[in-house]
Amino acid sequence: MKPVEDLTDDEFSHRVQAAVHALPDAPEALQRRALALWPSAGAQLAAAARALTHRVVAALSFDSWAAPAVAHGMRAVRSPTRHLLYSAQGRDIDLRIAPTADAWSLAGQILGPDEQGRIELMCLPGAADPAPAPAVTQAVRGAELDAMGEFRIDGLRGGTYQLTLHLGTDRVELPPLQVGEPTV
Amino acid sequence: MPTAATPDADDDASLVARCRQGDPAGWTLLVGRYQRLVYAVVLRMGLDEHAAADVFQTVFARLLAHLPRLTQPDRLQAWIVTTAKREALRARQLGQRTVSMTPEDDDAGDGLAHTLADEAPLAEEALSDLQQLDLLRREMDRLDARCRDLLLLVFRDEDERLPYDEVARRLGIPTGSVGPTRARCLDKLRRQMTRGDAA
Repeated sequence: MKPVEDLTDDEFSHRVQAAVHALPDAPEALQRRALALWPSAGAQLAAAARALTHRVVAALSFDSWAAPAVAHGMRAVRSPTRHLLYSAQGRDIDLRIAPTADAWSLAGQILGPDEQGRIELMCLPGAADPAPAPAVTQAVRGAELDAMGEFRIDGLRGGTYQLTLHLGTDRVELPPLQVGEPTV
Repeated sequence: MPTAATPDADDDASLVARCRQGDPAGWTLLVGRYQRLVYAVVLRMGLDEHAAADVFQTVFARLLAHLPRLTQPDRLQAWIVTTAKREALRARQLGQRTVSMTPEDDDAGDGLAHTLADEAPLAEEALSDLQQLDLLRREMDRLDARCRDLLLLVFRDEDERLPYDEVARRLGIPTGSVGPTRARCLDKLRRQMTRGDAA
């Protein structure tokens, strides 16, 4: 078939006519039966897709709050912003946990081959502050990575969280993340 | 039709991803996008109504089962055509076995020739043409409703074709504007395709 841009107006008109004739709509009953495959198969599909997901555990390579103590006699002032670096199968995960007026923010950037992805932050049961603000009582909070591979979640109360990244077919899990003032 | 006029809002890869995430709307759009192509392939195999319906259903069931393992969603159209052809051939062979009609049984002696003639419309070139026509037909779905409806009315099969005054009446436009509107809609469709923004 000639490319559309090479067709005369008459030829293009005939092409459209051929498309309409050659490709009638399937009978409505057939379409409905095909659509009806979903309720039973859809859940299996999602389960199968999850089964094919590759689980990756990220390894911590740097924690600014775990830096070695300064020499004796020097004053050590810990930055309120905690900086963490992880690596996970060709990806570098850069996290910053910073205090805000009444809570904490978690910002991050994923550097790697993935063009898009999303993150899930789950508050581990019993580990958050005893009286969390309404905004953080959700069990799981999520965010999409932007074009720079960055994300940000605000309004976190102190506690322990599980951060999971969904990047392509990989599910990247980070070790439990402590948000809040250092415990020691 | 429940899905025929669904616009191509997402490309195949996006729809596959939505299905994988359990989004039923992704499946609705995929069925709407490919129902015509599957049906056209099945029709060309000369299956009876019941066999055609079974094959149509089987193709979409296989698609649903295959989605988690689909590594090249941008090749979905080719995968669907191949699967539809294979399933239709399988159904036809099964039908031939159960009818127990052999070339020797055929009084006219042209049974084999008839079988070969039925293969002709499914030659690779014909399938490739069908895929091209399907892309064009999908582009028609992305036109505004007025253009899409007008083109579908004026390009109906000859035995169903309507005079311009009937087309005008159905669309609520003056008879004299059917021709110019048809030309404008064709031009819009062509520009849409040559811009390369097909979904």
